Amino acid sequence: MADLAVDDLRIRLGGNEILKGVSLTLRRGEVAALLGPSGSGKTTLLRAVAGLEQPYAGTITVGGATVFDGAAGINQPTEARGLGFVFQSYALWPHRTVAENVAYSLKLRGVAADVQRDTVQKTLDSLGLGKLGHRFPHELSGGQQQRVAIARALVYGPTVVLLDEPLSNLDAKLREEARAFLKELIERENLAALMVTHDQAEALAIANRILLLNGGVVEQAGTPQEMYNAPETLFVAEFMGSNNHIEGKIMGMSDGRASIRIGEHLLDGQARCASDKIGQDGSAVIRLEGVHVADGSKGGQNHVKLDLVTSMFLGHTWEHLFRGPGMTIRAHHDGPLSSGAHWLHLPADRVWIF
Amino acid sequence: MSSAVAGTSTRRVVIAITALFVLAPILLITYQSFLTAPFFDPKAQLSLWAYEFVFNEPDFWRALGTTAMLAVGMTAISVPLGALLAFLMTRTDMPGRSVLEPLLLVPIFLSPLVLAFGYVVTIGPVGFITVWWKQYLGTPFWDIYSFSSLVLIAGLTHAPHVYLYAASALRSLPGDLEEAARVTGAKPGRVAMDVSLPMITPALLFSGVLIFFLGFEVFGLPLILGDPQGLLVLSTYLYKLTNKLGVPSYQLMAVVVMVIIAVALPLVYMQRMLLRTAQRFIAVRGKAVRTNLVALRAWRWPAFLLIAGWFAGTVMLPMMGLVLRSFVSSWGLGINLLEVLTLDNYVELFEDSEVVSAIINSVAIATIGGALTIACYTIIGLAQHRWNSAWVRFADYIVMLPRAMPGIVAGLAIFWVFLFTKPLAPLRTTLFAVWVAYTLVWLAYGLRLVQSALMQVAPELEEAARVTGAGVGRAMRDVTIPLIKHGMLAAWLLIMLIFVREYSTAVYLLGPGTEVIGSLVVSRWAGGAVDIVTCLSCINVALISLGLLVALRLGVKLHG
Ligand SMILES: Nc1ncnc2c1ncn2[C@@H]1O[C@H](COP(=O)(O)OP(=O)(O)OP(=O)(O)O)[C@@H](O)[C@H]1O
Ligand SMILES: [Mg+2]
Repeated sequence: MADLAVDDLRIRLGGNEILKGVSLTLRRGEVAALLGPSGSGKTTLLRAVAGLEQPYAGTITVGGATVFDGAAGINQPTEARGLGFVFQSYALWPHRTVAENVAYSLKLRGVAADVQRDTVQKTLDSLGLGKLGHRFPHELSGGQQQRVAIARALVYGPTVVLLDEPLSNLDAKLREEARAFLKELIERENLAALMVTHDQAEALAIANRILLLNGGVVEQAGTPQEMYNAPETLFVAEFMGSNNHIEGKIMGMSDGRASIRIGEHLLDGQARCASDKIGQDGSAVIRLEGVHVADGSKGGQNHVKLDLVTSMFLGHTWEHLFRGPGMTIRAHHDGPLSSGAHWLHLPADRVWIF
Repeated sequence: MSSAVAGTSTRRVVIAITALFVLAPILLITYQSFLTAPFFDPKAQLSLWAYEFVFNEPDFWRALGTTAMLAVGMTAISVPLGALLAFLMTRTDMPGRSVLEPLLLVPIFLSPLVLAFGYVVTIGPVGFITVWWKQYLGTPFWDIYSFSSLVLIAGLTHAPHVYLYAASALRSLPGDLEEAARVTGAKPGRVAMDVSLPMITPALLFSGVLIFFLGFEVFGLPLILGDPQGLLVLSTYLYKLTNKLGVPSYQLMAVVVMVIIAVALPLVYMQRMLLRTAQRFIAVRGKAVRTNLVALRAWRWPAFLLIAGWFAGTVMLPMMGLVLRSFVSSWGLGINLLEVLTLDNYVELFEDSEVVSAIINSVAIATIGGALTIACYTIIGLAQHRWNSAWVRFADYIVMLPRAMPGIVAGLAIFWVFLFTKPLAPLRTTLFAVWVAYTLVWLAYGLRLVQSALMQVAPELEEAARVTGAGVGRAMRDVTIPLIKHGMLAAWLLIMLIFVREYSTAVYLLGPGTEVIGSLVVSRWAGGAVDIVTCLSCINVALISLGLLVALRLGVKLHG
């Protein structure tokens, strides 16, 4: 049974429909990442689950108990939902020490003072904050503050934790460390985590499941591999990874394959659109790493010859920019290339036609 | 918002009590204005008689006209002067700015009544300067009791209000706009006229309306300076009306109050709208960038002298007169100052039990009463805090209403409420009634102080307490209130200053047990006790100065 289930949740804020029917389920030991462009309603969804925003329809159950049901008029207040919440700004109380911040939820639950002290110390220790209990939040680094915020959200043992862009205030290096640490912690504590993020690389790395929100609805949900390798819509394809996007006219379609005309080239690819689009404008999308530089080739199906415009060294690979009539293509390649024209292979199983 | 589900009933009760507190006096006044006699008189009947009577009084129309002219005249003096002060203080390299800065705000905290006494004893018919002038130079060219003197003094003493708003608007102007004008060849004066001042028009417009509104409210200055010539404004007309028909003519007073509120209310709402525009104007510009100041060059010292001269004329002159007068036994033409110097006034002062209890009461109502007042405002502020509800919007309008009641009106209204409500009657002759009136009059101002502290608390800090398991009330107690402590302390200090300064609100409540310095000097002045009045005024100023020093020491921002 799901530890967190949201069904057809709808929210209106200031007269605008923000969530237009969002559903999701989440089990212990799972991390679900909420991904989506700015303003798509990620924070709103998280806050609604916590009871900080008021939906007008749908249901939310936490650990089997219904905490919100628009039709039945059930609406548990925030404090009764027993969730962990990590705020983007961390929201550490500036007038309390680290230990007092963490101990607060235990105090509310009437836990004896010595048990409180031990539990807090254990939690701080497990997050590598053992010696910082007496400090005030402003005396900590960004990474330490983030861990205090997590400690505060976990100390009373909630099964469901909600995290709103918990890593976005950290610098790039720290963020990578923190994301591994966070994933390990969630698995170790066997939590059900719902985490908002802006960063698709972060979502791919940390999540068991990704929900891509767009305009208040779930555009696509699935494992990171599904989301990355089998996008169902142009929006999902474009949102995940780095892409080449080529406009053309859809010429034919059969057996899940489609072909698209771009200038004098005819590209084959996987059909991601209905057959009534034949004869109309469409787009071909291929990831940068899907394009092969095929020097020595004599051309052929899905091969194009383009001029190298510029090259960039990215560390683990090179990125090259090619241009020809009607098309500009970026490609990853493991070495530098000589200037002039090059053959590129766009394998049909890596090209999606929308 | 679901997060507020718990605790909404408490919030509703607080807002309902606030509404009752504000509306009861207003409704009582309205009711009284339609009666033929005081409300306690069994013969009183509903009628428009009082309106007819007042509207047929030439004195009423004269007072209304005088009030309008005073308000216009004050605005015409204060706004340009305040804008000039603000420009010189914030945008130029005038010398002595850091010294002048706190001094500029002093007139806001001094009681206008005290200033008026100060003017009378210095440049009144037998004032120190008048007498010396007569001795050495002949007939003086001024007449303190004329209408033009009243307008001039009111204008000069109210300029700091304009300065406050204009200066904060100017500080948020990017300096490169002025530099651009300098580069194209404009002199400092032109820069001010062509660039700086037009950019702060919304702030100036707001302060213009504010001053006009204050012009309708002034009581102390016209009472002291206008009365001897029979010059009445609406508030002093109201005060004189008390026994027009030989019996207390409450119905006539109620009509005058209705007129005052009818004029003031639109002005209050206009201020609210204008303040919003002015703030939007500032917000759009964003944070101020430190830029070079306009170099005044040859005008540096003349500019300094202008401000110093204004301060000397508006504060120093009356204050020195007051202090001096409190140390002489008598004064007039042909008296040698050295022969009349004495400490007797102060000795006598402390033998007068009414005076002593006025001082004690003033201090008590400012400190203890002020703390209770801030506690009440905090409760009201918390009831509205982060609650998206029609109740909050209703409360927002309700708390504006007392702004439309000048102190003397609110004091009168509270006096009537205590007279009208049987269970409250015994409390009417206690300091509690005075405290209630003060709390009502300063509701909008004090609540804004508390609310701006509440606004500074990031919502996530409270939400974080909610998700870990605290209810609404608990989250307020454990997170919100600890975080606004400093703001509440600052608000308390400001309210203390204001309560010590108050004079008009307690006038109608004055009696044994309820005397405070402000109301007592009004009544003693009417009785001609110049010695006692000047001594009490000096004590009043000393208390305010003490409070100001403490506030400055603690880094309290003296304006909201
Ligand atoms: N109180 C509110 N009243 C009206 N509209 C709101 C309110 N709060 C949020 N919105 C709107 O709801 C939409 C979704 O906001 P939300 O904060 O959930 O987006 P988000 O996906 O978290 O974006 P970001 O990635 O920028 O954090 C936005 O268009 C926002 O303008
Ligand atoms: Mg967000």
